Amino acid sequence: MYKRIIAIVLLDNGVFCRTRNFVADYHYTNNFIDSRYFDEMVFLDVSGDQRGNRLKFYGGIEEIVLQSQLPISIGGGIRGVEDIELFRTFGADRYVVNQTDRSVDSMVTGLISTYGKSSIISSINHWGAFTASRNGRSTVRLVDRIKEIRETCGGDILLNSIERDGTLRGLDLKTIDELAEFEDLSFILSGGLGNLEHLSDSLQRPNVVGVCTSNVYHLTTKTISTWRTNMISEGLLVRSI
Amino acid sequence: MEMRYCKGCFMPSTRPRMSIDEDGFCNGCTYNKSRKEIINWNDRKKELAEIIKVNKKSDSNKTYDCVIGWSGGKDSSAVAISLKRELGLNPLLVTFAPLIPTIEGEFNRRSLLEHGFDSILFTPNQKVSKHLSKRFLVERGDPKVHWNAGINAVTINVAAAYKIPTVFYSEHGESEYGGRILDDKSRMERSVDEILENQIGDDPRNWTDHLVNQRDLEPYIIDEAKMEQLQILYYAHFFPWDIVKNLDLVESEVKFMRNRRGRTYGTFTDFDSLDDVMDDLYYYMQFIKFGFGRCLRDCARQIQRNRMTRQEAYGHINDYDGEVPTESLSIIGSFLGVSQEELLKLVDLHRRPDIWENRNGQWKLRSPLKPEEI
Repeated sequence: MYKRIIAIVLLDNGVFCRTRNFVADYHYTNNFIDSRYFDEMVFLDVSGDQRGNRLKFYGGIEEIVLQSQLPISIGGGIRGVEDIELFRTFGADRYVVNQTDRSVDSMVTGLISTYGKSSIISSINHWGAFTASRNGRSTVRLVDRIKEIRETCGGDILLNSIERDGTLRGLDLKTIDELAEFEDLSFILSGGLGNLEHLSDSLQRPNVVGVCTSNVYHLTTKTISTWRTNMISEGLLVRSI
Repeated sequence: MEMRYCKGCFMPSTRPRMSIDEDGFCNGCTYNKSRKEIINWNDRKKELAEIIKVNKKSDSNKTYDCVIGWSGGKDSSAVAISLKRELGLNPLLVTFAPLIPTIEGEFNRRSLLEHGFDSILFTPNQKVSKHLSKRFLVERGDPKVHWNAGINAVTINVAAAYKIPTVFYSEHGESEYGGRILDDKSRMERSVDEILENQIGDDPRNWTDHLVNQRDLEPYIIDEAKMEQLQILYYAHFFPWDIVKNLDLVESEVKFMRNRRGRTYGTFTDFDSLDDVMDDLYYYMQFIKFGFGRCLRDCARQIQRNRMTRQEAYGHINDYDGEVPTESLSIIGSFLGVSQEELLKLVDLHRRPDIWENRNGQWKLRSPLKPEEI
């Protein structure tokens, strides 16, 4: 199966932003996002408490969504069917639901029964080997959390390293390697991607099906193009442009 | 995102990584206030002398005590003069050539060398440099991303090659002017994270494309192994930092050429960032991307040092902020190989819809600084 390079695009009140530890720290315009270089795009509304205005969020992504030929996933603060129905009208193919906390498990089960397992991406925020809490790491081990949702999660699990987010210092492969036993699950990694080496290393893991780029990609589509060529020459199964 | 202006220095919330507290003050203002109250500068000076002594090993360079990243401007020249005078150090001054050198910059560098310093000037492959400059203007709205990498890389490379264990830069901008402090040591020492995250935005190894290969990028690559052998310090952690006092110090010691055209484009000053024509576009892009120009930046620094009232600053900002650097754009267009018209189109691509609105063909700030905010 082809491994995916995924653009994860974050919007703060309808404006594209870069984040550090998942807090917006730099805003930019959509003029430099070229979807041709990616296999999938994930749009997340990170407006936090002001997330009420989804139309601003849609206003930010509308142009890209309408022009893109790629599968589109949307998420950020999904609380139920109403959010998903709204995101459907935005043109989403899949929906990213934050399943870090146990309290949303029954909602996810309901969403999967309505929309199908492959339409849901279960996103888990983690800080090293533990799930993330509002102030850092929780006391719940990531591996235990994944065991809990193994049978009931969405088609892919998006592992979002809050600790590494925005640091460019590499994905948290130590933690990923602790998840090697989950051969039946498909993981998408996000947080810390800084160079080609980070990307090739992570995509070589059998249960890693995709890697998200955010801080690197929005600045340098030329970079993604070069990375693809290099990875193909290394024998990795990625789509050529 | 709504622009909010700091109640102290006017710096708006759109400055990347800056935060404004509940009372309405930016973290640059808060930090500057805390410095006045807490720091014993004599102790800091002694601490620095000890660091320099400890860093010196038996195989360290016998001639030079430290490397200074040096543009020839008032700040880095003041650092050189001060370290020589206060601690008796013999620094090696290292310059990464400006993209488009100015007469003022050349004159001021020559002037300090005549005062008694050794220097190394590194000039990178101009074909690659021009290509990267255009690429980064298009992709990031910043034509100097690679220069920022270069000035870090060259000092590290020279210090490692000459076995000079201590390197100085002027100030930690994130502390002094508002930004993000990565960890407790960030105010004193420059780390690779600081360079990649806060200054460049990604790893220069990523910059290969159809015209640029890894070898071309060598002058820009930050070598972490070399960095580990060095200690890279901010002068402003050990001595009080004041750009006007820096200017006074330099002008009292050497001939310093201020801006030949009088006032610098976009501001009221004539003594800051004079060594590269590209700086005029750099600061204009700051205005386009974040809604505050060079004048507001300069005023903020003066207000923080109690050299300017908010009333005076408002007047300057109203008069000069966002001024188009017309003559410089023509020189920069030739450098980048684009027409004036194309250059202005590239500039406009970076106007964010939450900061700008286009009214009858004219770009207007959605939340300009208003008199009632004085």
